[in-house]
Amino acid sequence: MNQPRGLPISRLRRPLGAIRCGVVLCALLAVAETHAQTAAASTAGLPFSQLFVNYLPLFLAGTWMTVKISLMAMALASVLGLCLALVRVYGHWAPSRLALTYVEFMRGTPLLIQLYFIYYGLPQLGLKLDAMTAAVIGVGLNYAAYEAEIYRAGLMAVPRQQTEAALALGLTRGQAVRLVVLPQALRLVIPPVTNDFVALFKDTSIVSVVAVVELTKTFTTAAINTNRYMEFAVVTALIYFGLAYPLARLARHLERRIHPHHDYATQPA
Amino acid sequence: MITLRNLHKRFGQQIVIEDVSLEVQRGETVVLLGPSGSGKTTLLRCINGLEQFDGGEIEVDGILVRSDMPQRERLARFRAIRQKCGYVFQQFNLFPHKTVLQNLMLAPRVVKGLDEEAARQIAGDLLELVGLSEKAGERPHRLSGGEQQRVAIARALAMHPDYLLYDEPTSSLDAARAREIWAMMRQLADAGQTQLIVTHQEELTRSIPCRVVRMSHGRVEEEVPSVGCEVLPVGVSDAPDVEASAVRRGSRF
Ligand SMILES: Nc1ncnc2c1ncn2[C@@H]1O[C@H](COP(=O)(O)OP(=O)(O)OP(=O)(O)O)[C@@H](O)[C@H]1O
Ligand SMILES: [Mg+2]
Repeated sequence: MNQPRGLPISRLRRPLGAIRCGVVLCALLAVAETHAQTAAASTAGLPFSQLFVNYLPLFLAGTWMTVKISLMAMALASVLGLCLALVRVYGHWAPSRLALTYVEFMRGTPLLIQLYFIYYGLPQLGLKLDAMTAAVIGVGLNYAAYEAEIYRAGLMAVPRQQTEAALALGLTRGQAVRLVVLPQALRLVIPPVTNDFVALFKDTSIVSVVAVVELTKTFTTAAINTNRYMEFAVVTALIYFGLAYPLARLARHLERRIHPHHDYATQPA
Repeated sequence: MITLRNLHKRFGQQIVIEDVSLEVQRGETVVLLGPSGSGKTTLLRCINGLEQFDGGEIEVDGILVRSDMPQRERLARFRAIRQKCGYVFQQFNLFPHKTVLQNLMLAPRVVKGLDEEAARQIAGDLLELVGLSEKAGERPHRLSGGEQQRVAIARALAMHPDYLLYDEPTSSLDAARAREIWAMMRQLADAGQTQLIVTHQEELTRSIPCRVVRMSHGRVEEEVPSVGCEVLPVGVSDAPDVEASAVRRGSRF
């Protein structure tokens, strides 16, 4: 009797636990946001523990903002990135060229300049976005270029014979891509995409320049007001790490679980 | 009936198929033999449009494709031809992200538009036919090569094709597995399934009553009828009646 190869639950449990912790943390942060108004006033001479308590609500609110921006930017980057990749691989010459240009341009220019352009530049053309929207769009559009390259690699990694088998059964090219190639490609790219999300999460610290009060902005405010750069830097770094680490662990775990070539063992390309 | 008329095909400068004319009648099994590089695979791929050709024409049951047709028209006709011609690959090319049963259900669902239940019925019957019912829920990579090829043949049969095209179906299998597949092909032949089999394994022609066509250097050289009277292994040949009836139900009536 062949035991069907199920998910190794024991190996799944730890990263899932980490995710659960993250979810609980997010919920706490959402609650904290409402209490964030109670800012600290004059603080000279107070012990750091006291300062920390005073600034905690601000930090929680800032963290929540960082998480929100990250999640929305990830969603944007994933969807747009996939569309770009599909156009790149299966599109006609002109659209494919256009997608390539987009990817090269976004990867070839600094995110900081892109953010300035969207938040401070676009209003000159009459398009005024609020800070958070600008941040999400800026980071999302930028990362879409990187995701597009990952998805493209995934689509190309599925052997041509898979498409041929689908076509030979009478499927249209669109059906072959949607039902045969894409599901396999998506599986292959889960680990690198998750890795990229860790980078995206940390890169959101740049959006502090466009008047979004997220974690890094909260840090600079607190540090300038109290002149306790070192202590607050450590606190801020720990918060970033606490959220990024579980995601990085998850990426690693997925890398181990999904062996790209395992399924093709009997189908040499 | 599959008819090739004066087919030409080049890869760059190299002429791979040169003025090939060939007929496959309904109900017969044709075996295409020839040395490596003689253009057998290319010829088979041309028939269902996996490869473009440079001259001549292909006709399957009145659906005509000429090399000088507009691309759009050619694609549309090849889609119609593909629904008549099942194709079996040397490397099986099963879909690794689907179970064995889902592999069989995919085309009936999306090409024929059958509902889940009807597709499952067809897939289940065919798995029983090839003796792999107990593997329905497995992923293809967990099956042996011979089992995978049986699934691949069942997947092609699920579309009830009038013709089955095989490209070296047993070349990546050991002798015993190969003979199991040949037994299946013989049963299909006996049930009236039209088959065009590309191979370099001459023994195959002694296992199946067939017409032999030899190719070399892109040309069809000679044709020899064969009776295929060799005794077959007992491996999967214990369900010939089911098989015959399934084929009759499927493609004939
Ligand atoms: N995609 C391709 N591009 C260029 N040349 C090709 C291509 N496919 C096949 N050929 C060439 O066409 C010739 C015929 O190839 P084909 O695969 O049809 O031969 P075959 O008879 O099937 O050989 P084998 O028995 O080894 O499978 C070979 O010389 C091969 O190198
Ligand atoms: Mg070949």
